[in-house]
Formats: sequence, structure tokens, C-alpha cells
Amino acid sequence: MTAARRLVMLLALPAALFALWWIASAGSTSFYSPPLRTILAAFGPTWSSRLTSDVLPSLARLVIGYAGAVILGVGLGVPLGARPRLRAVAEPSLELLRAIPPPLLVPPFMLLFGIGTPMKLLVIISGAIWPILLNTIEGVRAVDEVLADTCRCYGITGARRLRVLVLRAASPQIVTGMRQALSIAIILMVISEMFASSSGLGFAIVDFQRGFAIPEMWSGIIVLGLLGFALSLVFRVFEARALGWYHGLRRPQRGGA
Amino acid sequence: MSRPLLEVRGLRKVYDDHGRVVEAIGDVSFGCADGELVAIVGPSGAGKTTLLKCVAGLLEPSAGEVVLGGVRVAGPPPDMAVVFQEYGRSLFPWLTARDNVALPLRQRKLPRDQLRRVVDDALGEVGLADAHAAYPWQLSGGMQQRVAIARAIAYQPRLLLMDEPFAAVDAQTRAELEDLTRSLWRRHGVTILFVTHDIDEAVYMAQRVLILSSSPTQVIEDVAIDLPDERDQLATRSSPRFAELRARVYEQIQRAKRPRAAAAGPS
Repeated sequence: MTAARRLVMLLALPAALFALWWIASAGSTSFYSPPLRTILAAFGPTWSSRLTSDVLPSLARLVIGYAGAVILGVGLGVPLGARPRLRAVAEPSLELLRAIPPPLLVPPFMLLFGIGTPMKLLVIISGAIWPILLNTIEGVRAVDEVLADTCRCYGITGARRLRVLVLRAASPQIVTGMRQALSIAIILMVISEMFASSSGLGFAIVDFQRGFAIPEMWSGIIVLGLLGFALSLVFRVFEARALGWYHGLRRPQRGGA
Repeated sequence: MSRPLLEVRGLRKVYDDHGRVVEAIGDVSFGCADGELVAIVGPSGAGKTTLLKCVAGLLEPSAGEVVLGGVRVAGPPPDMAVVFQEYGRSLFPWLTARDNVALPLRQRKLPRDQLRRVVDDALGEVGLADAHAAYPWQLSGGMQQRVAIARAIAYQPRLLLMDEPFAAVDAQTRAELEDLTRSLWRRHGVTILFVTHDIDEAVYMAQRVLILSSSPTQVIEDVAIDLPDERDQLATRSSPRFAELRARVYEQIQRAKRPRAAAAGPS
């Protein structure tokens, strides 16, 4: 019952919006905004053949680039959060680098690293790393003093301390950063594929537009929307598992027990 | 008295608080025999927590030394456990009660079934045999402190330090935890050094009460509590001897505050 209700609540508004689009565009004769019926008719044939040539390469780049951003962001954020001196030295440079809009890096990265996959991964990493890095720094800075003393008393040090104390204590902030980074990574994946590329979702959509395959172009945008939606669902499952304790802690305390 | 397990000699702790030098501990010396239960009381701001942190090896003293079992303390020693006042902040909220107790034991590489038995016993002893799977935030304050005590006992320390462990729980829970701590002390023979601001609690719990002056802190008196070992919240607390000892400690603390009250000492 409740699961069914949640599903209805989840899908009601998207369904309504699609219905609205369907009705509003039904009589359209414009070449550039064809009826949704036409777009959906193009959807199946277009993407069944392009699944392996475009969708999967895009996804692979997204996953690898995002994983790189998580590893680098957390890996750099932990020492920066734990050491005030290091932070004082690094902070101005980080502020400067963070201020550069990542899409702007595509042209120079093309010159430096060519037009292949490494360039695209670097673009994704260079944009998606920031929310993870900055949130990790904040999370590590805020590790509770009493918990840190507890670890010292019980001889929990080094890598074990990192695993059982620092990363867990910072995990709410790290996950917040990862959530923001996921949408940035999707955007940068598409942007990096729009230039000088031969595969990927960004490439495909630009290619359709240039070839006046307008319904196919629109269907590509729907694919991207569905992809983002699916990834956010996957992320939500991950978050519920990783931060179950945190949501429980934050819930209003029940009395007594 | 046998050779003390814990010796504190000439301990002094000075903070540099933005250029202003604050003397938290003046000169503190005392000892605890193996298996003793000693309470430290003092007026608020007497640096009780600072003293305990120095004994624990969490703070480096400015002068003097702490010796545990003949070894000079330079960092938390492996045969010591601490129960903090802030139970809500000293348990890992991402671990269940069971894992909180087991965590310090994991690096000892005990066989799996032995680890399980030690954790079961410790949680059973503090009366939480059926709360293994609960997270700390699902437990009441008193129960959380019980988990912290179970963790300390399971670690099997020679010295157990307790920093105002029951200051943040209600009066009834507090009485239960006092009796629990005394029964664990008697069963395990662990040496307990217990900091509190509550005179009644100090007299009820301890074999000896050390009275601290206000800052800069010194030990102004060492009162032997000659109450019988078998203590009871009702009978002991209403006995004439308890009242005498309580009055004596109270007087000393009042005296400790008085001469310095005029001088603007750091709080």
C-alpha cells in the first residue's frame, strides 16, 4: 500500500508533464518542435542501435570520471581538513582554481591532451571534484573532539582511525558533495562530448541537430533526462545505506527508550 | 599500601590563551594503589578535566609526570580506559552498541568466538544484554553511558578514568550507574580514578576523596572514606558517618574557594 502510494507520488508529476507536452504538441506542424508522438516514435529505433555506440561510452566516461573525482576529492580533502597549516597554504590556490568554469577547460585540455577519452575524463574530474573536496575538508575539520580522544585512548590510530573515525564522521558532508558532483559530472560529460567527438550522448545530440534529425535530437534529450533520473535513484539507495545512522540520529529523539 | 599503580608527581599545566598565560593546574601530586577507587572533587573551574586528561596522556603536562605501573605516561597507555562525561559524543553513532564495545578489541586480534564472548559479557554486566543491535541514538542517556562503561570494562584496563561520568543523567539513573560502577569495580578489581563536582557522589563511591583547590589547582586534602565496602543508596547515605565525611569534604571545598575569591583568578 505505502510502496504503491510512494510510486504514484513519485511518478504522478512526470506523467502529468509528459501528458501536457503530448497534448500541447499534438497538433504541432513546426519542423523544430515536432509532436511528442513523433519524438517517441523515433526513440526506440534511434537508441536501440546507439545504445552500445553512444550511451554506454558516455556512461563509462561518466562513471570513471566521477569515480576519479570522488577518489581525488576525498583523498585531497582528508589531509587538507586534518591539517590547518596545509589548508592555509592551499586555500588561496583552491579558491582560484575553483573559480574557473569547467566547460572553459575543454579547449585548452583538447590542445594538451588531444580529443580522446582522457581529455573528457579530465574535464569531468576538474569540475566534479570541487564540491567533494570542499565538503570533505569541512567534514574532516568538524570531527568531534571527544570521539577523537576516545580513539586515542583506545589506541585506534593510523589507517584504522581514518576508516573507523575520520571517513565515517565526515561521510554526511562527503555524500552531500558527491550528490552535487553527480549532476556536475553529467553536465560536463555532455559538454566534453559536444566538441570534436565521435561517440557519446553529447556527440549524438549535436550530430542529430546538425543533420536536421529533429525528433531524434529531442529523443536524445529525453535519454539524458532519464539517465539523470536513474542515477539520482541509484544515488539515493547508496545514501540511505551509507548514512542510515545519520538520518536516524537527526530524526527527533524519541523519549525514554 | 603497596606501591602505587598510578603516581602523579608535581603535575603542572599552563595554557597560553592568546598571549595570556593561564595556570590550570598549579602543582598536583597523589597516588592510587592497585585496585583503589579514588574520587577527585573540587570547585567548578578547578581544572578537574584538565587533570584527568593529563593523567590519561591526552594532554602533555607543562611540568611533572604521570607514572602508570612504573612507566612514565607519554600518550594514552594501552592498559587504561576512559569514560567521558559526554556519552553522546564518545560513542560512535554509526556503530551499534555491540560494535562500539567491540571496536577497541578488534586490534587485539582475539579469536572470533572469544571476542563475541567478551562483548556479550560486558554488555550483560551493564544490563544491556538485549540492546546489542541498537544504535547509541536509539538509547536513553543512561543506557548510552552504560555502553561506554561496557566498552571500558571489555577493554580490561588496569586503570579506569571517569570524567564526571554521571553529570548529564537524571538523579535515578545516576544512582543506578553509581551502584553499577561500584559493583564492576569490586568484581574486576580495576583501579578507578573518578572526577566529579558532586560531593555526595564522591563520598558514596570512593575509598578516598582527593579535594582540589580552585585554580591554580593543588590537592588540599586526601580524605579516607572509612564506610563499609557494602554500600547502599539508602542506608549508606543516611548513616551518621556518611554525613560527617560529607560535611568534612564540603567544609574543605568552601575553604578552598574562600581565600581566592577576592583575587581575580582565571575561571
